[in-house]
Amino acid sequence: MSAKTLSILASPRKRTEMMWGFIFVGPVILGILIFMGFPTLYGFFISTFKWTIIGKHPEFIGLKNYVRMFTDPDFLKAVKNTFVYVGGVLLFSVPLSLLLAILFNRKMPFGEVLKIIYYLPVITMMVAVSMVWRWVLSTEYGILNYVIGFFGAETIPWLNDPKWAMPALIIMSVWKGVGFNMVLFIAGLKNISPMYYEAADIDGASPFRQFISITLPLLSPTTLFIFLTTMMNSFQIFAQAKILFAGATSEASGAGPDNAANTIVVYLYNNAFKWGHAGYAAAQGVFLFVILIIITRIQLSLQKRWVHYDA
Amino acid sequence: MTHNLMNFKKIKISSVIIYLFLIAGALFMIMPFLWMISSSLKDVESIFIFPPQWIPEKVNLSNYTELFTSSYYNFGLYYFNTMIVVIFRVTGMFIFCSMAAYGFARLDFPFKNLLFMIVLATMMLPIQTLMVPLYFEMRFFGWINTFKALIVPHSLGAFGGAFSIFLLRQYFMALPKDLENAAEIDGCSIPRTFFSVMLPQVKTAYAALAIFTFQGAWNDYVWPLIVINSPKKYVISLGISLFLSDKAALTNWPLLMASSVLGLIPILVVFLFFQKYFMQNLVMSGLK
Amino acid sequence: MKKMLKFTGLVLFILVLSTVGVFAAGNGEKAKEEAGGNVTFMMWGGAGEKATVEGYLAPFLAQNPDITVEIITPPEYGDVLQTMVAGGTPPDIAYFGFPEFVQYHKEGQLTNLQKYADASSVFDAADFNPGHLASFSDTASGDLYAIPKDWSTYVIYYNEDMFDKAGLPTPLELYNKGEWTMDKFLEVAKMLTNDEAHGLLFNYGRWKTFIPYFAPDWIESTSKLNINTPGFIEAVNYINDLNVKYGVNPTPDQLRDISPADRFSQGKGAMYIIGRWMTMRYLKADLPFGWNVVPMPEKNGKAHTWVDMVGYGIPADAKNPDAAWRVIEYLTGVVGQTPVAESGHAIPIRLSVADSGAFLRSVRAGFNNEAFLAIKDAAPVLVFDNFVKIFYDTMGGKLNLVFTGQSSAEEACAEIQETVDRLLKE
Repeated sequence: MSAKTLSILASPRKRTEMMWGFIFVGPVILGILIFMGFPTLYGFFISTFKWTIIGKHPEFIGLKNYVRMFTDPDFLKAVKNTFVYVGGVLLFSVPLSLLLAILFNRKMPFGEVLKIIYYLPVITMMVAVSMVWRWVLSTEYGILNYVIGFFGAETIPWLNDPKWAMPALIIMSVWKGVGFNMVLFIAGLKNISPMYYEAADIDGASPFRQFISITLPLLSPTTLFIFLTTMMNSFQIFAQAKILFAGATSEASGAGPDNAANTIVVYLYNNAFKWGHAGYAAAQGVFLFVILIIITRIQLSLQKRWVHYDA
Repeated sequence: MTHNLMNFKKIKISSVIIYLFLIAGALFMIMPFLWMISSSLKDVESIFIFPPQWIPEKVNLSNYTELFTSSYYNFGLYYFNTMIVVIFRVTGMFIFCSMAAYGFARLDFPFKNLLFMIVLATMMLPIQTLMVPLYFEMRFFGWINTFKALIVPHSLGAFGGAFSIFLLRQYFMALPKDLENAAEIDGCSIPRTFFSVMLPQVKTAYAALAIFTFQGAWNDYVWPLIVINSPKKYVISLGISLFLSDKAALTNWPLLMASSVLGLIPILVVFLFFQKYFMQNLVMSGLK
Repeated sequence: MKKMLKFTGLVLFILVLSTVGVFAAGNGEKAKEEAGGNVTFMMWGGAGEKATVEGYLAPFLAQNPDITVEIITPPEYGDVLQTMVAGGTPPDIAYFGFPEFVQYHKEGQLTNLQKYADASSVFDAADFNPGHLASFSDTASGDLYAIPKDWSTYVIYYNEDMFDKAGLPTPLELYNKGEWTMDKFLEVAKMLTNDEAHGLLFNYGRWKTFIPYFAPDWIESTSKLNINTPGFIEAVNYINDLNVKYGVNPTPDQLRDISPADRFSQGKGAMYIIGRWMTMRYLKADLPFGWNVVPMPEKNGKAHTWVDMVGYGIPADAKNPDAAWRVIEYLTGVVGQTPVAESGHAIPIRLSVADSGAFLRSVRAGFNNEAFLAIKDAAPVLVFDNFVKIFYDTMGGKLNLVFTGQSSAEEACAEIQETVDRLLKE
């Protein structure tokens, strides 16, 4: 037993605090263990079986599902696509939302109204907006092609061409999420004391210089948080792909033309619920979980080196 | 003097450019919504007109009445069910998540960091990977087709509760220690301190939380899809996606768009009510 | 004060929402859930299908007050059914398409209906097409595990007005003269294609319809498919050429924007290849032009089609199988099938009803209902292993690449063959 634990046990006051501590976090910990912990362990368990979800007699196959996973070209492509998607969303969503936050960080007529408009997609139901976006991205009748047509661009078959399926998915996701990140950045900017800028003004630092040496470092906790949550959410991309690419010509939903927009969760969902490979799907779930844990670890250690706290 | 004037002008021009840029972006952001509203007022034929007709020639409200009065769609019922779920879930989350947040922020107990890591780890789990075992659990509890399945897990912090706990913990951590010390000197027990001293201090955080929780509960789709089968218990997201069940062609797009608008209105109203506090509170939390 | 106002406003808003709901909910809550005679009945097809089936059931429910039927039409039918079955809380009756039926039966998730069928005075095996019953029977024991609900061949719907305007004989006239061949089909499709309309509307996802014309034996056994063959490649090229070479069919992109069904109803296509289920939809939509149906054309004296079949099954864990059987028995009986025939909703599964003339007279005078029955040997295909993944994902996905101009038929068929050989072994 550590010295700390011993010292807690030593004093009655500390003991009461400990008891209340457990009572306070107890319900949530219990809820999480029951509704998420157990299913996760169960997922590990079924990943060692060959099992159609409706099958009554799963067959134990050890690690074969994992071996299969790394030799399945469709799965490897889904992994690659997922990384491309996550990278794409991060690349556009984070800088864009930071830019918007900086631009909004001043007084302007109807500023609040504009902010609300940017936030509007965030509060909207994914199912509903995805269906609307099927229209937006439609080749012949879509408003996106209509708008880019004004600028002389050629009609793009967003949802039917493997080259464009992933960009279409990324555009829609950025549209959906940029408002959320923007609001968080605005909050972060408001927390930077004006003192720093005043001092920099006196030193004659250019606005760009101020941005690099004051804004960015002091904003880094917010940036990290946004980076982390955006990344976590992006890895779990599901509903928008499923509805955008729901079969017009094929029953396999959510994968896009030539699996160009197939991502891990979509693929595992199809395996479990469409093709009757639930054990295999569970193995993919474990894989995704491991990836997410690794990424969190890397980010946490980066945080120590990279994030500045405004003391 | 001239120099100053130049500078003034420059700022003006750049402000105008920024403003125009923001407006152009806002137009892009709002375009799908305008299209949604405009289509919901059309009839099936005029939806296929190109170039798009932003203002329908003949405004047609029958799509909305159909969603409330037809024997198949019952959006009144879906609203009612969703409200029940949302109210209980928000209440449950307020109670349990703020307790946990306080525990993690201010109380000392063994394994605190480990337990907090577990809570944060739940943010990484996609619900799709847990669906099958979760369904078995719900069946074991006898919760299939009940609102309990939609309320209890979320109230106890599963599926997205971690975010609220994280946010509230930030608030509690930002409060001065003196508050508790004073309460302790007055002889307050820990729960008493929490409920009557600390909780009122973070009242304002609830605006942000209310929005997040309401939003999560209102827009939840995959989970109700799995645990709710009876149309009598449908929530709004299932009502909207009923259009996905009509496998065959001849999708009634205007009706679908009208249902999407109906799904949007309540959450928009709630957001507009809370948004001012919401922004302020995010600023306060500092997200560190 | 202002805050108070705002808060009160919000509370009022919630109250209003809830009250709207209470009124609406009033009706629903009365239904008794625990009653022994409640049958949960899950189906797809949305509002239209639900209303139709409720209509069929009305007389039955009036005669059998001890039974209530609760119809469920979930979004994502297949996924929800699987979860419910896996969790041991399935509906009492569900629709099973022919390929899915095989999966559910293989896993022992369906009730053996043979004992019900044997004891029934309504069910009569002799009054069914033996092929249809065989599709839903266990291959070893011959026991029935689902009762066919309806079935359909694919036919060609055509817009009479467009043919008249162009001064062409209608496909039905050509058929009656024995001139309805693939060449003629393509010829009229070309003649009717112009700036406003296409001569043909063919959903590329239904490529299966044309394959038998060129590769009748592409499914050799449950574990062997012949796809990288000259015949199959020719079929794929034929479908592709309908757009690329002849321009008679829209591109996949155009068909995604406006579905072929919508195009036909808007008068943007002269001929549309699809099954019986569209008849009722078009009838209800009251199309502003004359339309009729004709069988698929002949090639070398033989016409081919595809058969889609759906059955009613009772999941093994259903709570109320006995009552469920009574519902199925009624719906697939002569009495239950008669309104199906009269309304023209589907091709009656009972031979006596299909032949009674009620079906042939349905829809309206002069509607060529015979078209659906013209190809006598039409039967569902053999369901091979891993069917859903191979058929929809691998084949559908790769062929779509050909149709969108990103791959050649040769390449695609070679790739499909390779993938399929691997998937068949899994």
